Amino acid sequence: MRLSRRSLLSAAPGALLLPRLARADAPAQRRFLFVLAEGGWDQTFLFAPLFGEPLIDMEDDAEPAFAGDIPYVAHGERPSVSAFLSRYGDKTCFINGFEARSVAHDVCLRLVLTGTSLPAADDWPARIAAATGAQLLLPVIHLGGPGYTHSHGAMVVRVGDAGQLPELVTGEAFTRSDRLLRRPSSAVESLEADFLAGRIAAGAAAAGAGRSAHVWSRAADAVSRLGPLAAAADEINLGVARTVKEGMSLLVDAFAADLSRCGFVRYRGWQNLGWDTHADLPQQGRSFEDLFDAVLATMDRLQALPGHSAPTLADETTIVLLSEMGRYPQINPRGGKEHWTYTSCVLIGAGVRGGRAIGGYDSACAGQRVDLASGDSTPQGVALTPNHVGATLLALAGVDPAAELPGVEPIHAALA
Amino acid sequence: MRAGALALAVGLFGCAGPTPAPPLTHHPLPGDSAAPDDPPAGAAFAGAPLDARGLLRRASLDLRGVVPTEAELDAVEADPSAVDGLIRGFLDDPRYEERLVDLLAERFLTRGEEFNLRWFEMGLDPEQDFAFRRAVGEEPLRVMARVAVEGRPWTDTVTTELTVANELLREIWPIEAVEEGAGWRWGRYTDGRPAGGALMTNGLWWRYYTTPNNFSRSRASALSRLFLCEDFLTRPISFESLALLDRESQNEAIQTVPACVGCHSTLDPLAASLFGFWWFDIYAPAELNVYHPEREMLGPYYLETEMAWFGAPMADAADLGPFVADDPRFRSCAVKSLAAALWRRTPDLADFDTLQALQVEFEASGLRHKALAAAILQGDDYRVGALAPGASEADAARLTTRRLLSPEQLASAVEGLTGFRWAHRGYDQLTNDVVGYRILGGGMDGQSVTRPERDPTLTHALVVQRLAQAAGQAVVADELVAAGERRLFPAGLRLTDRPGDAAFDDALGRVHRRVFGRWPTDPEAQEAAAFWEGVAAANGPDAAWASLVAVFLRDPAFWTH
Repeated sequence: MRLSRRSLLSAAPGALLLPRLARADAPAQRRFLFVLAEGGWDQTFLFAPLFGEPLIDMEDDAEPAFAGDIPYVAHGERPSVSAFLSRYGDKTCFINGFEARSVAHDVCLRLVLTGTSLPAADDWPARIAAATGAQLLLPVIHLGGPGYTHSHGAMVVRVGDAGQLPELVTGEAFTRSDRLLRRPSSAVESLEADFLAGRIAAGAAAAGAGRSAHVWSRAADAVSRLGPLAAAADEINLGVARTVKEGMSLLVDAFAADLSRCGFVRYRGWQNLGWDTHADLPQQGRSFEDLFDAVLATMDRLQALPGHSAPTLADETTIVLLSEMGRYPQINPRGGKEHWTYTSCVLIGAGVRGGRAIGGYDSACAGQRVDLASGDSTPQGVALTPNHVGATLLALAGVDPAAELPGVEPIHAALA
Repeated sequence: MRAGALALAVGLFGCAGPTPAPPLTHHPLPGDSAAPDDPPAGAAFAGAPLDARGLLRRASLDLRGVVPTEAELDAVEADPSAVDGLIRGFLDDPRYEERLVDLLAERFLTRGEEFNLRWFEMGLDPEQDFAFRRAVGEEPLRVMARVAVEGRPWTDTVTTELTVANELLREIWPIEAVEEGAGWRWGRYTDGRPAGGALMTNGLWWRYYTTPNNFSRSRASALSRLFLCEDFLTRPISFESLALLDRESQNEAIQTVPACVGCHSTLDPLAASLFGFWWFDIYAPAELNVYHPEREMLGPYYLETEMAWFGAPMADAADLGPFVADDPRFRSCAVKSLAAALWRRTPDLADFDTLQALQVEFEASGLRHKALAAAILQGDDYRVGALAPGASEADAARLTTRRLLSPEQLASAVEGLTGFRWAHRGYDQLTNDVVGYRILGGGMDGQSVTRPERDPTLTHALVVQRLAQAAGQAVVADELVAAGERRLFPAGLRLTDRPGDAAFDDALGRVHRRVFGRWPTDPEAQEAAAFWEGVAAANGPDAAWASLVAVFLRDPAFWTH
């Protein structure tokens, strides 16, 4: 696939207003590729090598291992995990034992992605994009799964689980109708666009203030992006990602084309069988292997692509692996594990102080307190929450966490 | 913090029972002797109301999902005060029930796409997939909406022994019809479940399921949040340093550790009452389809606590509905929820007096939901259309002077105008996300996206574009090419008419008025005619009319109100 980055840049509204010289601030130029392992991954399959602990059920045939200073759980059936850590462990930081503070999926998802259970909040991708990528065509490209917005809904461009976005762009959506419909000709669509733009401009001029003005302004902005969106869809695949690897590849394409500040892909486990392993615990192993195979391939690709403000795209992209919860440390009668409030996340790449694991799990699989500056586990440290992760992501993006999350410190030890 | 404070404030009000409240700011209705003569005390409202035409349009879309008819526009243009009577009538329109289901879905989040069972596990056909998902999620909403439109006390929503089911639900679940007719009808479960209205519906607990080590606590939390506006999840919790690795340890901690007791002393006794819906296998139809009366006793066993409603003992699960109904928070929550739905914003502390006044009216009506809706519709916050001079920045951000139509409203409004409904193999494309465009169009599924989008977005613009183009083609094909019943275009219009012809100019004006609720100005009409001629020159008059309709439907003046 050949990307025409220059043409897309010139097509994106506002992109022309972003001179190259303004691109000196590296954190504000970073891309964030979020992968959500939805359903709740089992920390004992990777992050918590609690072998020999009487209260913890570890996986058969697994063994403790280290990648540099990162302790992890290795298994012969997960070669991609070890391969990834071997190759990119120095760019990788595990954050272990943060507490989602619930054990219900929908609540944990909101907590992990926004830091709060309250609905009036934007998730981390939307916040980052609003602060540093609003001028891009697709500030957050969202391939499916949960997303929470309150003030920054316009930042998020959803593709749809079935690839609805490209079919709308191309007009293929007209075939998804019981009636015979056809897309108007490009000449007619051009006339429609011009006439509509005039009506919206007139409406906006008469809209007054407050939300009326805001809505009209947003409408004008959205309509102005339709043309560039069509151009982008001609250049890169905005369609269905059948696997997490395809999804991550699609997001890398969007980064390479300078379309997006953040990308979000949901990974529902190996063969789409989920991470919510109340039964069939081995599914966790298969899913971790599949996930790290995709992450490994993505990092390799990022390394090979030129960056916009750095030598390679890998130098300006941070990959974030998240799951909304962990798994209960003991196996249930059905061979699975229930929900657990403590979990881990992984930060990889740009801006990350790699080669280490921050935090950890005690003998009961509860999260350990952490000194945010050193990253060491200590009883005098703080109990990690999703807000600490969020503050760290904001700091990586060059956004002041104190303004967004007052009173919450980032995990300084995770920052390069 | 403000939301938490509001919850506390409403809760305190609820505990104290109804108290005298400042009068609601009324726009008096003809013959409404109860309307106050004096404005309320306190700060002046920072907004200015819509004019009668704008209000008519907003209310028609909110309560019926369609734009006003020409006759209604005529009536309000002749006498602006007629708008109040028309709005009252909208509450008795059959379409109000559908709109209420839409509004309730935004709060109860049950109209999702993902349940533990799918169509093939229920013995259904593939083309029933959408109908199955929608029916399951709508069951509890239908109970509440039916109670509302029939003028029953709102407490019936949690006490009636009936449910509301359609043919599909009666096929897959043990429900017998108790009234004749097709579609959503009152029905009764035959599996021995106690009375409890929406609380005893499969649809509610399929959405809010529990897991083997959660022991219905998440369901109890959902019940409190949804029906009382009392959200346990706003309270910080921590399991730190506790080895909660077995049920006994958990129960001991819950009963002894202060940080746990705060929530669990009320949460667990409530959860204990929900074990008739306890599933040993959360993916087995035989488990999920029926209530299990014999499992009610498992709650006290697993949770090591007796059933209770916030400290008041319950004898069994049959007590649940009456306890909810008697809780003052249930009533205040109904007020707050409907206000939020119609104001299109979350109430805050500044709304406290207004919510109190609404609650007084609700109580005075005998807890009739329509009376509550009528009171909200008369208030400043519903009718606001602009900022008043001197409004603060906070007011500007807070007051919803302009509101987006939801995808459900958009679909019904376009259908009302053009007859076009975007359907495909059993799916309604504007109201599903499996193959459709609900979330992309600014809607919500209650799972991945839990709030309707408030701002226009790129994907919203795209969905509206394609919907509008499709509707334009369809209405031209049906009315002008195939000479079908005229719904949008006036009867006198023919495809051979051109700008300057009386029939053409009349049609253009009438279409504009139907779509936007007002006649076009002369420049607007001239520009529209010029656009029509441009398209007609390239693609003919049918394409020109289709494009003109499409562009009108894409105009924010149509899809906002």
